[in-house]
Parts: sequence; C-alpha cells; structure tokens
Amino acid sequence: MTTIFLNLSLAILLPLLTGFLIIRLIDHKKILPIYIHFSLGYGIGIGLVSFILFTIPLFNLSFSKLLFIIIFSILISILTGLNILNSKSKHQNPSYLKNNEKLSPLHVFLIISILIFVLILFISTISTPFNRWDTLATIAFKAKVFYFERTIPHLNKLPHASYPLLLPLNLTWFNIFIGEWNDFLPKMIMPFTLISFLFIFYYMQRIIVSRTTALIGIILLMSPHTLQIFSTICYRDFILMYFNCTTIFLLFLWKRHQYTPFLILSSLFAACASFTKLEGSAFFIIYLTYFFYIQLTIFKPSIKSFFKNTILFFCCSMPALIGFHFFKFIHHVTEGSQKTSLQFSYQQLCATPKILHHYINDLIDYQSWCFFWIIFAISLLFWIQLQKKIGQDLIILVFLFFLLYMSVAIGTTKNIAFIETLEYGIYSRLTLHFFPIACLFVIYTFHQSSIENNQKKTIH
Amino acid sequence: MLKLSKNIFILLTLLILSLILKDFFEFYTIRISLLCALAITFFLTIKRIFSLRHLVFIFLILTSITSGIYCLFLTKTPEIRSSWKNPSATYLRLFSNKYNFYQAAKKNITTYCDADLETDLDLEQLAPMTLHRQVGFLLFPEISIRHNRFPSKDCKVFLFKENAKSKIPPDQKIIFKSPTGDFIVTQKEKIE
Repeated sequence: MTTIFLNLSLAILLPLLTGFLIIRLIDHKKILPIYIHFSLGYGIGIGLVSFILFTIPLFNLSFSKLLFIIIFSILISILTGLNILNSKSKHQNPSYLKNNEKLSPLHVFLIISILIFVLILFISTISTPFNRWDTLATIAFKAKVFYFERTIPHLNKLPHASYPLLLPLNLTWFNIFIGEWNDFLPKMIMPFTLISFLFIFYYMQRIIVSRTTALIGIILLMSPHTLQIFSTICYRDFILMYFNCTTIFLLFLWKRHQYTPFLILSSLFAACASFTKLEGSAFFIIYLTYFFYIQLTIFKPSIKSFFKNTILFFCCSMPALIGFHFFKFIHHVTEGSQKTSLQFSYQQLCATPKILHHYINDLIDYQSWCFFWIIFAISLLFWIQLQKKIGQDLIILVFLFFLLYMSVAIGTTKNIAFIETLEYGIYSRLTLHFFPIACLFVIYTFHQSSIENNQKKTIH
Repeated sequence: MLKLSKNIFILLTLLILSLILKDFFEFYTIRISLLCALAITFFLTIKRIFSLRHLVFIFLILTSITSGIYCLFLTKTPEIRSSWKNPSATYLRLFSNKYNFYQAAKKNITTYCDADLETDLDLEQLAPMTLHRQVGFLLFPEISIRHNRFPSKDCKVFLFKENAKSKIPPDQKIIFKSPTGDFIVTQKEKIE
C-alpha cells in the first residue's frame, strides 16, 4: 500500500513540478500567483507526459518507469537551473486582486463546502473502476494496450485510431508507475484536473468579483450534474473542457494585460486541447478568431508586433496540432466513423430545427444542468441592460462554440438517428467543453448588475 | 407600507415560481433544493439588499447549487460506501456476474492469444456493442478480441452464438463455458 502511494505521488509530482517550473520560466515577471503556477503547471505537466510518451516509441525505446524518471529528472534539473538564472524578478501581485480582503466566517463555510464537494468527487472517482462506454471502448482500452505492449503500436491496429492520445497515454503513465494494471487509481487524473481548474476559475473570477462571489461562483460551476458525472468518469470531455477554457481564459488575460507569456501559455494549452479530443483541433478556429480579434481591435499593433504575436501563437500550438494529424496521415488513419460523415446539403440544413430542439432539450434538462442555462439566459438579459459591456468576449465565445457544434451537427449525416439512440444527451456533453466560459459570464454579469443596482440605490 | 407590500410581492412571486417548478419537475431533489433556496432568498428579502430581478436570479442560482449538492450526496455517497467495503463487489455491480466468467476464462488460458469473436448479436446496436467493448476490455491482455498482436488467432470467443459447440474447430478445446452457454472461450491445443 505504501509503495503504491509513493509511486502514485511520484507519478503526480514529476509532471506537476516540471509544469510548474515551465510556467515559472514563462511567467518571468511572476504576474500570476503561485497557486496558478501550480494549476497551470499541472495542465502543462500532463500535456508533457503525453508528448514524451508519444515520442518515446519514435526512438525505438519502450516505456519504463526508470526511463520516465530519467527523462523528467533531466528536465527538472535543466528547468531549475534556468529558473535560478531567471530568479531576479520578484513576485508581483496584480493590483486588481484585493488580497487584503480578510477571511470571514462565510468564506470559511464556502471553502469547507467546496472541499467536501471535491473530496466526494475524488473518492467517488477512485472507488469505481473504468466502466463507461467511451472509457472501455477507446480510452482505457488503448491505455491497456500501451501498458502491456510498452509502446504505441501502429495506429491503424487500434480501435478508434483517429482519436488523440493525451488521456490514454496519461493513464498508461500512472499504471507504469503503479507497476501493475489498475482499473481504479489512474482515474485520479480527473479529480486533480478538477482541482487545478477550480483554482484557475477562481483566479479568473477574482479579476472582477469579490472573494465571496468567486467562492459562490465555484460552487455554481460544480453544481450541474453533467460536470459532476464527467469529472468522475474517465472521459476526454472533462479534460478538453479544462484545456479549452484555460486557453480562452489565458487569451482573455493577454487581452487585459498585453503580457506575452499569457499568449505563449494559451497556445500551449491550445496544443494540449488538440491532443485531447478531435474537437480540440476544431476549436483552433475559435482561438484564432479570438486571437485576431484581440490583435486587430484591441491592440492595433504595428505590423512587426502583429507578426511577432502571430508567429508566437502558431509556433507553440501548431507542432502538436499538425504533428498528430501528420502522424495519422503516415499511418493511413482516416477520420471519423463509417456510420456518420460530414456532408453539407439542403436536406441536412432542413434538419436544423430538429437539431436545435434536441440541443435546447438537453440544455434545459434539469437533471443535467439544474437551472444553469435559464440563469444564463437571464444574465444575458441583464447584460443587454448594462452600460459596461464587461464579458462581451465571453458571450461571443459561448455563441461561437454553440455555432460550431450546431454547424457540425447540421453537417453530420444520420445525426438525429444517432442522437436518438443515446441514453445521455450528447449536446450536454458537448456543451460541457465551454460551460465554464458561460459560468464566468454569469458571475461577471451578476456582479456588474449588482454594482449598478447599488449605485442606483445610493443616487435615489 | 410600500416596502412591506414590495417584500410580500417578492415572496409571493417566489412562492408561485417554486410551486410551478415543483409541479413541472417531478424530481424529489428539487423540492428540498427549492426549500433551501426559498429560505435563503427570504432572508435576503428581509435584509432588502437586492432588487426583485436580482432576488429571482439569486433564487435560481441557489436552487441550482443546493440541488447540485443534494444530487452529489444522494448519488455518490452510497456508491462510495459500497465500493470501499468490497472492491470486487463493485465489479459485480457494474458488470454483473459476467465479470466472474471473464476472470475464470482468463485464468484457464495457457498462453496469451488473439481471438476471433463469434456472435449472433447485432454489434451495430448500442447494447450489444457495449457488451462487446466490455468483453474486449476485461479479457485483455490474456485474450484479445479487439487488437491483434500475434500472427495467428489461436482462440475463439463465442458470445450469444447459437450452436456454438458445432462451430468449435477440431484443433481447439473449450477452456471456459458459462453455465448458460452464452459465453464460451476456446484455445488451440498445443502440439508437443
């Protein structure tokens, strides 16, 4: 038991520490607080694990614990050295974070509630083995193949060969550290991702709102049943949500501060998103739209800095995005399944109302989302009334994601027939990918509208 | 007087809203969450911090949150309790007694092998497809039906196959058979 615990700690600490050191190096002015360095570091860490495990077979080496420890020890040593060389700059807390706000009994109560929430999700995750459809069919199955073969076999030999490998490779990583195949403990990756994301989400809220509202915002984020389910089962959707929303949040921060490390980090997270799920590659269109929108409307940069930013964004994200698709091309892997394919026609377009009906049905389903999307609709009305259009980007992004999924749904043949066979709302699952952005919008709008309400009260 | 009537109006609106919602959604979780949300909103109404629209908004947020917490406790805690008492019972709960068959088949195998799956099930349908993926995952690595590792397939897995026995090749022997005969695994006999 102690050995397993130590091995698991090592499996978590190695990527966490490496990611943390990478983030410290990129955020050279130390603008972000240390807990965000750790949170973002975790994301970069699991991305790095999958990248390293993906490249090891290219050198005809096989997976082993010793090899992993050697690679990560070398990386940690180099990064520590670079961090020491770069340690002149001191930690700077951005002025907008009101750190002098004292902890009240309400804060303590909310923090304890969140901790209980997370603890239940954590224990629930590791107390059930891999059992859901996607996990058994692709994710854990691939991880099991990688674990027992100690390499990545020819992609075409694997089921669902076109799917990206971030999560299966991370599960393999955990099992190699445990030393035997385990159906329970590698699922730990899910609650750790949740914890990491909660910190990032909290930070994003604190830019605008008070500590109390931010803590309530976290509970609101965790309350939909969809999120609770997907953070405990080993599906790629939750990991994609983490990478996708962090990418958007970092671009949002880049827009606010015009601090290049945020751009670099966002492109790294975009790369991880594309290596998590196929949708991650499609999201790149949205990232690029937002990126160019910021460049052209907010910054209005010189041609030189425009190209500099563009090259930076592409250089960090494109290798992963194109790399995996190129790898699939070499292995003659075709996209999609034989049952459904993308095809835009008038007949497909006529199905739009039906698809929209399914989509809305999934969103207003109380068991999946409680009242969240009704709250979102009310926030939208509040936001229209507001003078200060804070959160404008967020609302546009939510609609872009919605449009992307709608257009894919309209263009997919046999889509409705497929949806009707499923027990669980497919659109609920897809909406999860951008749900935190909508949640952040709700919190921002509520906060702004309350302030406006108070101002009106004082005037009267 | 005006403030009092305003507060009464807010409370009545919320009460009607909760009654409508309670009838609309026939889930027992919502009743408790609605009560909690109503209680907190009542407190805020007395304090007179928020406007009417904000109170409705807060009420919905609170309902979502309390319902989320309630759902979590209701669904996850019994799951956790049963799993931590007996992990193997968790497998049985999730995969029924099929899990024991898979384990027994894996134990009886002499060497790891790739297998052909023979079935009468329509694997394009969701339920049989799910069963196929379960079998594929739980039998691996001893018996592989979804990933080829060896030049030849030395095993056969018969899953809900009529007259399975008549289809067993002469050079293979049964290494596991479920009591109902729905699940049979055969392996090529070694020639010494």
